[in-house]
Amino acid sequence: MNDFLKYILRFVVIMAGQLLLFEGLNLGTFLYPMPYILFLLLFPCTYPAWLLMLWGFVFGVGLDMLSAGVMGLHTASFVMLGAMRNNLIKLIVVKGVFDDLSVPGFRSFGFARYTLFVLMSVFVHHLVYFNLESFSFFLFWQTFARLLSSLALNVFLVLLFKRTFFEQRR
Amino acid sequence: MFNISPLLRKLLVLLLFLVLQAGAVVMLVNNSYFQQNAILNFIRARQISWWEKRSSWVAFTQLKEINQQLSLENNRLLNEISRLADLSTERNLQSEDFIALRDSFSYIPARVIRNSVNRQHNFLVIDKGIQDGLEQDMGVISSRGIVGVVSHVSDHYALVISLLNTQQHFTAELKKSGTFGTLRWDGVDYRRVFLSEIPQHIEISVGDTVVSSVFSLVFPPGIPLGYVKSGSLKRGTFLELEVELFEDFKSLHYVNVVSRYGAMEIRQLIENLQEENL
Repeated sequence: MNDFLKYILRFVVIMAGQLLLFEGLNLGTFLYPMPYILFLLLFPCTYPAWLLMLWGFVFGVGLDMLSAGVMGLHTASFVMLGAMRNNLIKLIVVKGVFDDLSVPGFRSFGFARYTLFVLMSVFVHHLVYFNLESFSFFLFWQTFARLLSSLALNVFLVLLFKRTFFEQRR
Repeated sequence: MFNISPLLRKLLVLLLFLVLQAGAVVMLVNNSYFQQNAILNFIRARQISWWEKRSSWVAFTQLKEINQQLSLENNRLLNEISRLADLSTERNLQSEDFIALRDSFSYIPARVIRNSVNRQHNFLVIDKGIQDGLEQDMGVISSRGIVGVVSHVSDHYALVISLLNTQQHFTAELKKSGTFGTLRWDGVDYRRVFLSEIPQHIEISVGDTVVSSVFSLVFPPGIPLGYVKSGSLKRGTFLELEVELFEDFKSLHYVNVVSRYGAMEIRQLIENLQEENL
């Protein structure tokens, strides 16, 4: 129950940060800051995928409603990330044996592996988000360019916030 | 937790995934329905006061620029007035003529309280609604060009589909030749749109002004939008012109909603015609 309260608190803080700060930054069509992706990456490695998907769904619907955009975009991409996250962890960490409390992070994964993990997670999210947003493959290269530039920005932001606020110190 | 076989568990997770994803896609596809949704209206009503505070603060930091824009517009309008005054004395217009001139368009000033430029489908929220005489499908302009079309109205606020929306097309024409075409945004640069379906034989030079069309139902004709930057032939049949907008959507604070006298009637006429053709 204690953990659940912690997740709720995180939910509120990250949602508030995204809505109050990052939704208001209009950096042009090529850079859309979405550091809220970090929310799903903070759950423990053994957290079940179906719960991740539900968290992703609730967070996505909340964000879609509160930011004045097109409904369903954040939801679809965040649910997809929730479904894929644990597989990505298995893919990246070959040793694969974690205790229940181990959380993806610089310390547990190592810097390079964790960066790769964030990169792939954000890529999965963006792949769904930008393709659904343009809703066609007609402008494929343009969508692809938007995806890559936002990917670079968001990987940086996620790593930065992880390092600054969510890394346990000893 | 539950004592079920791993295969069944996997299937259940897959099922949940499909259900959640389908929910998201349904929301995406039925977008206009969700914008009228009661829960959303409830949330918006509370959100708007925050947006209003935020936008007024942002506008405050840009007062200098806004003042400059307003004084420029004032200047332009003063010139226009003196020109019209000359015309009216010259032609000795009767009072009926003035009525005929006046009845076509009227303007309702509004403040932008929410705006975005970094999506493919950008929307604005303005602080005028049904109580101020706004209706769906009214045009929204600023001193530097057209802004968008009203899509939903509540009592005191309205949601505007921005010109920067890949799903929304507008009509515009070249000032010099009067040739009209379709104005659309390609979703890349918020300072640049495309004017397509211009016939090949029209002579075009870089720097030509693009204005709102006479045939548009929602905008008054002749508002300058931008200038031609370059042009290219599309599919060997039509010219597509790259248009640099005068409007900077990032620093958009004050707009005017255009209410056209008789727009309803014209729209009904067109609808009747379409029904007859079917």
